[in-house]
Amino acid sequence: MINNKTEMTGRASVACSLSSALLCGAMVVVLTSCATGQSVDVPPPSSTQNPLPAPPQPAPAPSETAAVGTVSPVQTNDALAGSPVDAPPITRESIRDPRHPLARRIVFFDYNSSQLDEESIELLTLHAQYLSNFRDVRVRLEGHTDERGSREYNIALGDNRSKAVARILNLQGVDAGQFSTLSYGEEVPLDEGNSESSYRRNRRVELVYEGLS
Amino acid sequence: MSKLKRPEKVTRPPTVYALLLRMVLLVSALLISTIASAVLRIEITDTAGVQDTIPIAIVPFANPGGINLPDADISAIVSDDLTRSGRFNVLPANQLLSSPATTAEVDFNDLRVSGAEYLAVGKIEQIANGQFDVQFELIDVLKKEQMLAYAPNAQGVVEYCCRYRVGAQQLRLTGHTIANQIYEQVTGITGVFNTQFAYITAAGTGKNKRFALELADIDGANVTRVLEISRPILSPTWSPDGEQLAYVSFEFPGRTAIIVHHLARAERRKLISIEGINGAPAWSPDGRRLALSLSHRGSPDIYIVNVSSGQLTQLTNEPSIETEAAWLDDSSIVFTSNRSGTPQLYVKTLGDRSPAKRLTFEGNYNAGATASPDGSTIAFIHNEDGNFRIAKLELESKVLEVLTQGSQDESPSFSPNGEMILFATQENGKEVLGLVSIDGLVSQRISLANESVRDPAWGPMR
Repeated sequence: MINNKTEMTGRASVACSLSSALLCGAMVVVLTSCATGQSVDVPPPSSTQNPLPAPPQPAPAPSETAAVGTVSPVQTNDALAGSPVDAPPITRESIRDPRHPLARRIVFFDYNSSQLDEESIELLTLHAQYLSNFRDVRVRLEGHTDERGSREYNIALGDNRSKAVARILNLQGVDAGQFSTLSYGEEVPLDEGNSESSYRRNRRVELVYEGLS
Repeated sequence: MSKLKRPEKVTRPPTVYALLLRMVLLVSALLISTIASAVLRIEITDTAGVQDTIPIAIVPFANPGGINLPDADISAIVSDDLTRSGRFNVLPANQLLSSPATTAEVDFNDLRVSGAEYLAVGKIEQIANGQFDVQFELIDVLKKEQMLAYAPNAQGVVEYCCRYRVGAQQLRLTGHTIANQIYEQVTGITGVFNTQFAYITAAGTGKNKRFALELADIDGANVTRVLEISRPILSPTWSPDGEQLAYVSFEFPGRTAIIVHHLARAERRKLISIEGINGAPAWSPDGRRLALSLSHRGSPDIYIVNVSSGQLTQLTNEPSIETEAAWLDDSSIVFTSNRSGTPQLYVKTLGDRSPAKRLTFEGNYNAGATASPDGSTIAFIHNEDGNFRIAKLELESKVLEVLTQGSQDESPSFSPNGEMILFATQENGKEVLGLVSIDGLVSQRISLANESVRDPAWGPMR
């Protein structure tokens, strides 16, 4: 992913200049990326439009960001071996390759939070690149929460999480028509346990590519 | 699963005001209106806190014809109902020295020994093919007076009641009706022993997971499976007349839907299914509207939809989460919002443009509210030291009181007389239901042997 860094930053700045300032303003991390590009001067979010939800909690501590891609129903052990040093080229078939970084299709969240950490954004950037390359590909962003608290509030929280991912894809130039969101709340846990480590695996957004599974 | 018509694709977000929703009458292929084999097990876990249970004796009803039907033991049904209420101490039948069937046959000297303050007697007889005559009388032992009976007594002050001509299918319900009469006569509170509740079950794992919407009598009998699908169902809410349920279904690929389901007609109608969430339906007390949550414009907000016309009105418009509306009365709702940074409860009057008023200030998590039938009290999920418990808040006094002791308690639902709260909880890692009295003194567990039980909704009076 290291090789991708400059490319990603460049793309982010373009995306910021193109997409609404509102979208950029909602994502602090992306703003940081934008700051290295040319379009730093974004106007503040307008209150007359439908503003996007503020993250309910402060940004997660960096130490809590390691969960990205550690588990997934579609990820094989090979894919879990660690982040690749070199990002392999993206072809249409990359999405079917269990060894390709695109095989990681889950991003994780802190408790009661819809905030994406830097590593998640990196992964989403890779998916955005794939989706931008192949405009006929569609993905569903499925938001999930852990089982604690109210079922319907968790549906809303899962909705916020899938929309946070949608914003990143949108910022990275993916057509709005290429993705949709669906919140399952706490209804479909990845891990049926009820320890903190299970909860952690369940607070997630899964990228479900159409025609794959 | 799907013999259902696929939802029509909504390609652009609907206009917010005066939106006519597509109303698709769904083929009820999924409807399985059979008695499920499962039986709900109800356990009274704690009534220790109740100081003054009322001692009552229920004499086994006379059965001169020797009718041998499972539901013909009316006195057992009545005894179980009153015991489960936690307010009565039903004395064991074998402590009674005699078995009177009418007030005239009662020997009050015998009763003094038993300690009973009230006595119920009665009889069941077959009067025609499959038709039964059930009668009962209620007696105040201390005053040596008849309180309820079929015929007026010598004092001439008794109500005309207490005689039922029913078929075999109604015998159980008749038992509950008698329990209601006794409960109301002695405590002054309307009985709800003849009510039903809806709930969701989940069984299996992974791809074999099954979700079902079921109904049961509040004593756990007459379990009826209304719908079974392979995807989640949640948030059942009753129409005030008890004829329909609205709920959230994941049965359609890629999008949730709010379904309105007419129980007797076995008709399902897709009320709304648009981009984003279609969640948290709550039927208005007048039965004409549903409050619900939609997020097609961004973050979840609360809308009111007219059930018959489909006309949609946006009620909240905030960048934060607003969801889980509960009606206090026909013109005001309580809902959850995280506008303060944590989920808290707010109250809003319909048509009032002033901001919603915050109701909860204790703790960092108060969500999923439901209102008592008279709108005076709300029950909700309250996080207390990391444990999610059911709490109540009286709106007048603003006093918050935690009622349960679990760690994952949720989905509270008031009984139609406001005396009890049904909720979802966990026992040894298994999802079960709980019942707690609003004073917190009586608690029970309702469980299914091999399935998770969750998301209960107590039905209205019937």
